[in-house]
Amino acid sequence: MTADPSYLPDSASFSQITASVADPVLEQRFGLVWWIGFAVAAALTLTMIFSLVWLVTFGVGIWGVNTSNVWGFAIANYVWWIGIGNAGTLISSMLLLTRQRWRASISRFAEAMTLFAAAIAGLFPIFHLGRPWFFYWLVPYPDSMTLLPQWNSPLVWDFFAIASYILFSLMFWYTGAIPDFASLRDRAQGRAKQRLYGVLAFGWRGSARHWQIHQAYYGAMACLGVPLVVSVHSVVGLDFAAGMMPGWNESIFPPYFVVGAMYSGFAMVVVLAAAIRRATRTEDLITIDHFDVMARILLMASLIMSASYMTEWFFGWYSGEAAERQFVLNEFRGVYAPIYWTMIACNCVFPLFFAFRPIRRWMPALIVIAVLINVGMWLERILIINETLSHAYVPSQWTLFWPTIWDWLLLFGTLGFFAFLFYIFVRVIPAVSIHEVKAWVSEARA
Amino acid sequence: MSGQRILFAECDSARSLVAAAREARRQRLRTVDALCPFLIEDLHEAMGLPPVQLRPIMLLAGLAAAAAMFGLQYWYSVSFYPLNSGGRAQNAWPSFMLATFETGVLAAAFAGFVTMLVGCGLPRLNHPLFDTPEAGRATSDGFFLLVADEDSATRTALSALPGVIAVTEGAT
Repeated sequence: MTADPSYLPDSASFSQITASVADPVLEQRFGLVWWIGFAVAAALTLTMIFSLVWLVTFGVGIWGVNTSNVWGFAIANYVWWIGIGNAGTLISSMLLLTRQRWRASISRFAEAMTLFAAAIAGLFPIFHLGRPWFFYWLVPYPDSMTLLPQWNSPLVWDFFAIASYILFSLMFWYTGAIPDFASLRDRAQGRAKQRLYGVLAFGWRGSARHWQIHQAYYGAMACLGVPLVVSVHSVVGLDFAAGMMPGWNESIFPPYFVVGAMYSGFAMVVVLAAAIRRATRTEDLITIDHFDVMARILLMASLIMSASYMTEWFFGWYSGEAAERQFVLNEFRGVYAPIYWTMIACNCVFPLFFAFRPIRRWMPALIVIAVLINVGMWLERILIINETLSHAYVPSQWTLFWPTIWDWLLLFGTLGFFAFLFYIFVRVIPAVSIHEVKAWVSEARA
Repeated sequence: MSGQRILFAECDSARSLVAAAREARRQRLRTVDALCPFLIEDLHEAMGLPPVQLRPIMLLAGLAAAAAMFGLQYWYSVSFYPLNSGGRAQNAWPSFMLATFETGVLAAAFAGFVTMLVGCGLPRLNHPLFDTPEAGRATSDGFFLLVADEDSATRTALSALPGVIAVTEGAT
């Protein structure tokens, strides 16, 4: 039996830990691989911008939504992106509260993933509106018509949830990064870098009083973060469940969505961790044990998702309602059945391989299964929307949704934008939480 | 604080910094500060730092904002602009709870962030401490106890503390 993993570098000194994280940022050691990836990501970002401009100019009809399926790709993408974003906060908050050592190496870029994913997710509810320039009507401001938003609408709750989530995540991430900016400030050689990180660090000195106050705030934020994540993604689930459509009107949706969010988010963290570990050469900080434990979480989430699907099938039948029973049968026999089976394979079958320890510790398998999970979760979001809206109560409204080129361009554009932000992140921000790793190392060696 | 002579006692580990701080307090040396590259759990207790009042402020701000948000929804739905949709209750408080909760959490987070910055005295990009060489090492691997250099005995007492490997002078 192997010893308990420490998730920490075996023998590195504190200054070596600082160096291994700070130097890739300060010395700008990124070569051709970074430039090629950055160019592709930049091109996709331009595609995204172009798609959005085309959308605002010519209207929502450029998407395939001229059917009963009015939510199309936009809301599926929204749910998928915000789901990915939620895992970052869960990693930061939940693992901090449960004092898991393996949090330290992955929390920084996981929280950055949250910020980027949540920001991208926020674009979709705005742009899927017929008149997106009126999105500010969701804000309760005193207007000339004395109208405030419809408080009973989950879409209004969405606005509050996403807005508070993005701002909360920003403050949480930034607070954790302040001491690391100070480390970079003190280590930087050039004046420009010293100034940049000096400003970002706010003048942090590492004073004991600073740390005391910092800990009070950071711990409190972690306590707030977990219920916030649960509430945000529950609200996203309620976008569907608070209505009465067949296949949507299920009370399992809020927790099912939260687990799905954790699931797809952790899968994305696995992919990002593999990339960052390779790019910044921090294999001793982001160890194979980290991937092992994340794979176990993915396995657990996969089992819960399987249980959720089975609950849906059971209650669809148990409800006795014709539309619900039709809905469940349609999932397996209808037009979208091949996509449904693919989703089941990606979400419920392939992750079962993580039950085997050698597979959990083998990078290619980890990355492939994690990507398949992300694909499967995207398909799940698509199916949640498509299955119900194409086959609802009124037969005369049964129409199918076919994505147009603009649907695909925007989806891949946002993927490129996410990568673009991460390429910049990895060059400017220290990707691992230096001070936390040192704190755990100090405690482990004491 | 400016122009004061400070002694920097460098310690070799987090544990020895805590021990040195405790001992310095016992010997009634005037500890000005301690510098370390990461959070050390027992340090503020060893130094006798006063408790932080941040979390009660966050709680108050969160509750106040939540109450305000709920009040807005309640007032609007019940009194100012009631809508009769199938005779449903005007005070639909279960639906109001979500925006209430989110606003409360955001206000608590923001209040805490501001309180943290104010309590730390940040942003303060220019501090006399940055002129000393020790400040740069404090964010990497240095553990320092800063004591006011009051008389000649202070330096001796400081060097004798457990875990102290060097004592240097500075002025802040």
